[in-house]
Amino acid sequence: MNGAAVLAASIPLQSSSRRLSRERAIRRFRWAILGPFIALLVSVLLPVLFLQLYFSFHQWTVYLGSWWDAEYVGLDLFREVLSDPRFGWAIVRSLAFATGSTIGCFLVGFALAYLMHKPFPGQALYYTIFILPMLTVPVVVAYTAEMLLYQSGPINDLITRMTGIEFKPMWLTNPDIALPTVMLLEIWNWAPFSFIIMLAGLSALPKEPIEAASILGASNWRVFWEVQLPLLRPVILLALVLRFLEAMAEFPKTWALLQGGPGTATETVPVYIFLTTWQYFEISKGAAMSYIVMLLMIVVVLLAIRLLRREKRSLDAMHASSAAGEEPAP
Amino acid sequence: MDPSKDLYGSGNLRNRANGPTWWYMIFYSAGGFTFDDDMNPTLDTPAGHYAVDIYLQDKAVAHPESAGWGTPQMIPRIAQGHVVSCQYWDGTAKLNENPEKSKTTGKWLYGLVPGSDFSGKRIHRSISSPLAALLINRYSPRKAQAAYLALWLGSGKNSIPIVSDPVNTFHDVWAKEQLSAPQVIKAYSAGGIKAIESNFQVVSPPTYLTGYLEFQDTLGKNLSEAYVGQLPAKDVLKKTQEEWSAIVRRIGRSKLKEELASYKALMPKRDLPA
Repeated sequence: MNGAAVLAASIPLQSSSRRLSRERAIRRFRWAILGPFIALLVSVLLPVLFLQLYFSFHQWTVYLGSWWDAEYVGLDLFREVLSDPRFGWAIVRSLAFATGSTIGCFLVGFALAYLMHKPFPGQALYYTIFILPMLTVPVVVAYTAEMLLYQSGPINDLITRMTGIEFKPMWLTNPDIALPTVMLLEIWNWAPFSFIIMLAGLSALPKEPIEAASILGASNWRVFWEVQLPLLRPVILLALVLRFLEAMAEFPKTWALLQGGPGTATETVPVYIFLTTWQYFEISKGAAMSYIVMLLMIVVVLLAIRLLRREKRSLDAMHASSAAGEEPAP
Repeated sequence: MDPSKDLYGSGNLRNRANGPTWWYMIFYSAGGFTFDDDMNPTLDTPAGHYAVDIYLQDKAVAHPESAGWGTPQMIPRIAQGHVVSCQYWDGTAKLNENPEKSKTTGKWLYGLVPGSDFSGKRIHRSISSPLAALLINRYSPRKAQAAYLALWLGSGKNSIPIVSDPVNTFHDVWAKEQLSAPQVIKAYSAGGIKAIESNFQVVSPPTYLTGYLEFQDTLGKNLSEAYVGQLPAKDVLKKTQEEWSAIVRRIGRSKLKEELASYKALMPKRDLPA
């Protein structure tokens, strides 16, 4: 073996050890940044979760003295919650609310992001205007909306004047539309969140597939539907899941506006858990409810992770085959 | 009443949080009481159903949005003249009689709450909900200081400016020396003070027991559901009674039976003011 061959043989070894050393350094850096946050989360969140777990297996209310003397009741509380029709209806309302507001936030956010993803004069100003609703405190949104949404208030008046048709719905006191009204407020408040995620996703799209499709004569619609949208699937999924989880936990607007009323029209899961724990002082039942809802959300998150991994695998396969100059697998 | 001019017959509160207060007044004046001596709820009775009927009849003369309105929405409407009558609550008279804030200064007549002959005799019942008091925490390391502060705040010299302020405070008069103070009479009007004095003589508490919030919210939820049409009126009290029974079992029947004596002791001894 000559010197050049020896040198050539040693180069893969050197780059491999350098690569390993680089990977170790990256891992150390990641832990150095994430470590303190994880420690804080663990030290604050875990004790609360364990205490809540304790309460969900022990019957305790504030009337019964020390919490460590509470009676062990096994799964009785979970059985009670799962057979409580009021809890069942609260879940239904929360799911309807979360689904509607997630879809609404996504559609508005994506539309705004699509309009904004190419640079144009004044883009920064529009960006600021579009994210302002997200910076408004939810309780302030609620109290302002209450004044705007009176039957004889400015919103109904404006629509009446614009359309010429008398438009006087009772947004907050008609039990059939009270929950959709809160949903609309939620969409106004949180569409900017979806906007930010989708704008980041659109900005990070590779230009080559889009340019290639345009050069090959694809219309704007086909480029959007068959090139951009499939590439955005992981980002869309992330935006939907994050928004859905937050919408399931929505409390400030619902409580400030309606306290679960009129009747029980807006009694969602967070409202019912609040009433159970802090008005009825059924701490244990509230803890059991919270765990059931948390498990439901964990199922949603695991499903989303599975879908995201599948999307990532298909995107990776597409990149690998296009790099090799082959037709991507369907 | 003329809805086209935004004028409605009633300004009583009918939202989920406050509605029960008005229901209690009707229920008590019909001769009803919330529990028997064994702490069994006694809502699903003729007096209870009478109270639900009267409560729901208000809807025909109330603003359509009253199901969602609390004090911040309703009191200004009363002061601005959009309401013909109401069983009023704290802060209303002072705002009504404040010429800088009200369009109806000097136009109101104040009197005793409506009574009922349902029980066979005339009974009037107003309500103080909940019983407002300055409480000293028995575990406080400074009980004496807190008690002196409470006494100082409650003295005529300090409390009269508070209860006669027409803008910045909410609570109505409560003490005898307040009722005769010139600035209080000016703030409430002579008729308003006379009405408060007569209503005081027949004032009753809401469910004055441990579990007050649970009892109140359960009743409020069911009344609100009936008011907006989600629950038939005939089912309100049966449902409430079942839920109240569960609350009693959870808190402890014997504990509540001990408290029942205090609750009953707070009920007025007369049916009509002197």
